[in-house]
Amino acid sequence: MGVVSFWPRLFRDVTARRKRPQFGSMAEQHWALEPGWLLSPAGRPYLDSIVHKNQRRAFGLLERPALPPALAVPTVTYKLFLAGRSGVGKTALVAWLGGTPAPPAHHETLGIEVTTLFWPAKPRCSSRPVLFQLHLWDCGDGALRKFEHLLPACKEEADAALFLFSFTDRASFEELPALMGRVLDPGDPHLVRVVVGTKFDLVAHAAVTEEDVRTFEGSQGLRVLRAGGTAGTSGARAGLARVAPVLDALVEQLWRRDQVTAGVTPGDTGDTPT
Amino acid sequence: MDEEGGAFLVGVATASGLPLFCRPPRPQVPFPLVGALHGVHLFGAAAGAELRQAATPTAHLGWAGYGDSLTLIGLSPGPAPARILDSAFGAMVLLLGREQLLPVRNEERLKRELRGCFPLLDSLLSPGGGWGMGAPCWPLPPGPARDALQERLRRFAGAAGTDLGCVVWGGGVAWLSTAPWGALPEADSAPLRALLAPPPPEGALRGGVAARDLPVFLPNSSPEVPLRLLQLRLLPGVGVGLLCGPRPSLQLLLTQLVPQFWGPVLEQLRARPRPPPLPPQVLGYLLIHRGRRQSGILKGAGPGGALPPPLRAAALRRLLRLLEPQICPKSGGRGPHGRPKLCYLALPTHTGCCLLRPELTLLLLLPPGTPRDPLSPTALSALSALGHG
Ligand SMILES: Nc1nc2c(ncn2[C@@H]2O[C@H](COP(=O)(O)OP(=O)(O)OP(=O)(O)O)[C@@H](O)[C@H]2O)c(=O)[nH]1
Ligand SMILES: [Mg+2]
Repeated sequence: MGVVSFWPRLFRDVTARRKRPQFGSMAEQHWALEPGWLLSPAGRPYLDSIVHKNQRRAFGLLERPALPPALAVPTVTYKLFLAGRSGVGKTALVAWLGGTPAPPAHHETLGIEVTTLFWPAKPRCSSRPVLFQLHLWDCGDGALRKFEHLLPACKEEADAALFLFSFTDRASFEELPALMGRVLDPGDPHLVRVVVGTKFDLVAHAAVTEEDVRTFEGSQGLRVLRAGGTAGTSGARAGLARVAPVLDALVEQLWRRDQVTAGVTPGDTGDTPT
Repeated sequence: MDEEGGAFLVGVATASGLPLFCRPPRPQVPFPLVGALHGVHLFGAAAGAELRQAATPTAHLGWAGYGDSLTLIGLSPGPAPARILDSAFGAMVLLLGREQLLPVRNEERLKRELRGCFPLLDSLLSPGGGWGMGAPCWPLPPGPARDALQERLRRFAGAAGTDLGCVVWGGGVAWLSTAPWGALPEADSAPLRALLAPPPPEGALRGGVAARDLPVFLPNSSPEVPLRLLQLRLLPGVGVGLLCGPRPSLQLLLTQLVPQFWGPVLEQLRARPRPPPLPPQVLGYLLIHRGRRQSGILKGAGPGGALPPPLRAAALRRLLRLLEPQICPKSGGRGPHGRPKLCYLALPTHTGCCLLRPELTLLLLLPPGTPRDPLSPTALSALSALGHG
C-alpha cells in the first residue's frame, strides 16, 4: 500500500481563552450590502441561477451558477466552519441553508463535510451584484474530539467560524464561551465570529429565552442569528425566503470584514454595524 | 420474512448479552428472541461447539463471534448470513477501527459509537443492497477516453501523495480506479465502495455535500491506524475518491489540486459513461473476479416480455443463491482450480447462465426460453465486453 499510516488518537486538551468582543449590533440601514435584494425583482435573474425546477441547485466543486454574459459578476469565495456540540444541528443547518432535505434522525457526522452554496448580493455603493461562494465546513463533534487533525483542517484559511447553540438545549447555550475558547486561538483575529441559535422552529419548547439572547449579545458584542425548520419542502422560493435573512447577515459580515481590511470602510469601533 | 425481504442484523456484547444494536430498527426483533439466539450460541460455545448457521422454514440464522467479545447474529431470508456478518463487521471496523470494537470495554459508549455505522449497515442489509449486488456498477469500458482519464487520475492521486484513487459516476453506475486501488483486497474495497457509492436514494453524496474528509480504517490492510478517505464531488453524480495520509489538507485539494487536475476535463466527465457493450439479450450480469464483485442491470434491454428491470436484481440474487454450491463447493474438483464449466438454468421467467473459470464466475440473466446452444458464445462475448476477453 502506498499510504503511510499515522495519528495517535489523542483527546484534545483545551483551556478556555479570553473573550474578544468584536462586533456591535447592527441596524439594517447601516448594512454595506442590501438585505433582501436577492428576493426583490432586481435579484430575479440571479435567483434563477441558483434554483433548478423550483429546487435549490446543489453545486459540485467545479460548478458555478450559469449567468448570461451580460449579467456576469465577480465571485468572492469564503470558507466558514461550524462548531457546536453533537446534535446541536450543524448538519441540519447546512442542509437548511442549502435548501436540501435534512436527515430526519440524528446521524453523527463522521468526519468533515463541505457544502458549497452560492449567494448573490448587491453592495449598496455599486450597481453590480457580487456572487458569494460559501464553503460550509461541517465536522461532527464526536469525530472532532477523537481525531486531532480535524479542527486544524477546518480552521485552515477559514474566514468565519459559526458557533451553534440550540434553542431547545440550555447547556449548549451556556457553554458557548467555552466552545469559542476551545476553537479560537489568539492568532485568529481575522476570523469572523458568528453565533447561530438552531431549532428556532421549536421555540415553543425553548430552553433559551429572548432575554438570555439579548444579554449574551450585549456581553459578547455579537449578534445571534436564528435558524431552524425544514427548507425545501414547500419549494425553493419559500425556503429561500426563510434562509435569506441568515445568509444576508453572513455575507454582510464577511463583506464588511474585507472592506475594513482593504481600508474601504473604517474599522470597527464598537458601535459600528457589522 | 418473504423471499425478497431484507436481512436483520443484531450485535450483542458476548459476555453480558447486552444488545448493542439491531438493524433495521423496524420491524423490531423482540428482545427475548435476541436473548434466546444469543443464549443458543453461548450454550454451544460452553459445550465446545461453534454454532454458525441454522435454518427455520422461514429464515436462515447465522452467528459469528469476534474476539470473544462481540457477537453478530444475522437473520435473513436467503442462505447467506455468514457473508453478511463478515461484511457487517468489516463496515464497523472501517468506520470505528478494530481497537474500538475489540475487546468491548465500555458497552454504553460502543453503543453510541456504533450509531455512526447504521447508514452503512442499512445499505448492506437493504433488499437491493449487498454491495455490488445492489446498484448496477461497471468499470469504465476500455478505450482512449478511459486511458486518458486513468492517467489523469494517477497523476492527481500522485499530487496528493497517494496511489489509491478512483472516479465514480452516478452513485456507482461506473467507476475507474488506479491499479493499486483495484488491487485492494475485497474486504477493504467493498465497504469503501459502499461508502463512496451508496445505492440510491443517497446518490453520490448526500444532498448538497460537495466534499468529505473521513477517517477510515481498512478492515484488512489497516484495521488499527486510520487513513483519510477523501470524497470530492466534481459534478452532480461524478465523484473522486482518494485514500490519503495526513497530507494534503482538504483545503489544498479544494483550492488547488481539484481545479488544476479536473477543471480541464469537466465536459468529458459530464458525459455519462455508456454501459459495456454486452450482447443484446443480456438483461443483467454479475461478475466475480478473484472475489471481487461487479454487477449491472441493463435497463430496457431484452425482448418484449422479458423480466422488467426492477425485478432483475432480485432474479440475479436468486440465481446466485441457487448456484452458490457450484461456485463455492465445499469439496470436490470443481472449485477454483477445476476446468472451466458452463451451468444453465431454465426458469419460467428467465434463463440463468453461469460461466465458471478458475479465477472468475460470470452469471448472466437472459430472457426465458433462451436456447442452450448459443450460451457459450454469449457468455464469452459478455466476458470480453467486461474486459476479461
Ligand atoms: N426541528 C428542528 N430539528 C432540528 C434542527 N436542527 C437540527 N435538528 C434535529 O436535531 C438532530 C441533530 O441534528 P444534526 O444537524 O444532525 O446535529 P449535528 O450538530 O450535525 O451533530 P454531529 O454531527 O453529531 O456533531 C437531527 O435529528 C435534526 O433533525 C432545527 O432547526 N429544527
Ligand atoms: Mg452533523
